[in-house]
Amino acid sequence: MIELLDIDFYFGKTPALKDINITIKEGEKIVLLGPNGSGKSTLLKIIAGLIFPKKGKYLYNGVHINARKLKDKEFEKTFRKSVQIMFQEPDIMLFNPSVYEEIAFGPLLFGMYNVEERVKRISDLLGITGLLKRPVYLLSGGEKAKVALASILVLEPALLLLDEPTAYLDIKSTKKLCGIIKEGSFTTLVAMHDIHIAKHFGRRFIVISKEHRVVFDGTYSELLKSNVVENYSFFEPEEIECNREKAYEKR
Amino acid sequence: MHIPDGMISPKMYIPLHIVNAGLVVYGFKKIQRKIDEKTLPYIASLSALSFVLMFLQVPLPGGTSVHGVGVAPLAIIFGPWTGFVSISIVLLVQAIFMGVGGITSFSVNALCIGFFGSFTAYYTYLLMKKITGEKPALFIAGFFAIIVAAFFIALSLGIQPVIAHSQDGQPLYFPFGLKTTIPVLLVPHIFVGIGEGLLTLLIYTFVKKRLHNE
Amino acid sequence: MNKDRLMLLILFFEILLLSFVNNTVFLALYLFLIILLFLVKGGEVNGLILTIKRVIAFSFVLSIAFYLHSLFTGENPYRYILLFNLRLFDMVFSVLFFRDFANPVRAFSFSKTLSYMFTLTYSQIQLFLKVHSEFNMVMRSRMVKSGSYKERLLFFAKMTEYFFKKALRRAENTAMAMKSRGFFLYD
Ligand SMILES: Nc1ncnc2c1ncn2[C@@H]1O[C@H](COP(=O)(O)OP(=O)(O)O)[C@@H](O)[C@H]1O
Ligand SMILES: [Mg+2]
Repeated sequence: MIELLDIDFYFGKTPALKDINITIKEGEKIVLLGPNGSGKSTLLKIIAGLIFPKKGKYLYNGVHINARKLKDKEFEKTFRKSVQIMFQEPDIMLFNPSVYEEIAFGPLLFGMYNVEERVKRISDLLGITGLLKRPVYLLSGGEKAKVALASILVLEPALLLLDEPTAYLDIKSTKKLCGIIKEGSFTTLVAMHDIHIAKHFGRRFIVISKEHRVVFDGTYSELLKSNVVENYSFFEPEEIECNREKAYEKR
Repeated sequence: MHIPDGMISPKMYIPLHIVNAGLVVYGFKKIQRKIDEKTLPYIASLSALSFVLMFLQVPLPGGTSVHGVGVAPLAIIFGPWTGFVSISIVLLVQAIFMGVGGITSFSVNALCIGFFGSFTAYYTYLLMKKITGEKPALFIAGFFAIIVAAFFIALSLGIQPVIAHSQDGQPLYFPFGLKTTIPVLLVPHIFVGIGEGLLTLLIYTFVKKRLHNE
Repeated sequence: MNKDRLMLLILFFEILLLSFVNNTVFLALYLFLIILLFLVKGGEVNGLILTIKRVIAFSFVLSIAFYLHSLFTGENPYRYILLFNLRLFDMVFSVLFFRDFANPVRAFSFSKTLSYMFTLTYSQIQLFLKVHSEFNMVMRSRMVKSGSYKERLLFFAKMTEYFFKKALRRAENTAMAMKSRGFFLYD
């Protein structure tokens, strides 16, 4: 579904990604790990077709995505509808007068049917039905994150890109979100930096280093065994778990 | 510096609202020709920036500080039309969402501070840069932007008793004439002007270079 | 027409009416009614007090100044003082009423650009207000306020740089977010 070939990206002279080669098949659930500033957000924006690599190629379903290709409005329409991204600061995604209009914005724009029902279903799922009439600019950070999530999930995209989606969410909503990702048929790519939460968000783990290169690509158990965990001390290898202290003996 | 509601007669604010709306639309289109799709978020961001610039306290030696308005650095760095449109938007947001400033006085505030302030700052800077060099030019541009804005506000208020009074000569909106408003507004604004001059100088030297490094 | 847009029209009408009418009895009656309506509809008293606080200094200074002025001219100052204060508070409370009981963004949605502009600007103002107060706390806790001139200058430079960079990056990111949501696809 996605092929990233030898991709480099720079902001002016500041490097953000180097030599990125990743292939993603349909339906894969991927977690993108890396310390702050490693280039996770940049990679997601490239995959979403919002910025374009300075070197290398990005193919989506075999189509080379670049500025020229996206000038084709018909192509851009199908591409944008099937690839949806949640930004690291979810409130920049919100610009409509009310939560309902925010969630209905995409479905109306892309001409989906049963908009009202879709909005209702997704807001029930995320527990924000009570907010539908509220203006978005008065919501809290967590509420804004849920509304942003709802506005992209409602489009039922084929590829879902989430940039540190749990940063503003409480445990309950985090659990809900990883359930949605597990059950959903879409391909997901979730950027995160906390390995303990991350392990619930996918089966394939890709690690980007401080030097903006891919240094690991594999399963969770392989990740724990690999030297990445020691060399890149951005995550603690130990699981934080409560001890099983017995206060009473079993009868 | 903002005039609240009730001070400007409808004879004046109705035509000025129309003029201001026309200028904002013209300015917006002008910016749009340059940056296209980014215009809306760009103006929104710079409006929020101009809001926060009004709060900033510029440090002075000896533990004190002064305020500026932030119109001059915005106009010099991003251009006078951008400065004007952003300040109009933020004044409107303040009047409607935050109850600061006013709805009837909106266009006087936006035109005096936003329009005359921005264009004075921008062209004073361009002119003075050739004569005095960059740093003094920045200070002078900030200073004059405020003085000119304050002068136009004094003018708008000061003509109210002339254009709007009752039959027995009682004022209906603002009571004092030009002889009062001009000195009363200009003298304290000398200090705001100094604040704005310093703000412009500091922002331009400390911040502008770093923006271009990105 | 939605309720919010109707309320905006009513607000414009009110402001226009209030700015043309110079009858103090009418203005006083209006003030009484708008406050009553505000409280009956469950408006917050705190909001009312905050609004009064915002304009009280201006009202006070102008009242005193006109009183002193009248000592020289010999005219009766009370009619004007009453008139301008009533008009000021009438207008200010009308806006408060609108803001509290309507959704201002929806009210302006006859212009899509304006309503998007309001949401984006106001969200970012709230963010900046929060960050600004955090900067002030840092300044206090790190004793920058009483530090040397150079320290204070440096802190000021850091703070303004943050706001400029944040504003520009946010504009950039917002444009991308709007694009990815299909904002520019249909006009
Ligand atoms: N708009 C931008 N302008 C300049 N540099 C940027 C911009 N966005 C990101 N960067 C830089 O690019 C690098 C990668 O950033 P990013 O992709 O946001 O990392 P992550 O999401 O992993 O924290 C960082 O060094 C960051 O400072
Ligand atoms: Mg990031």
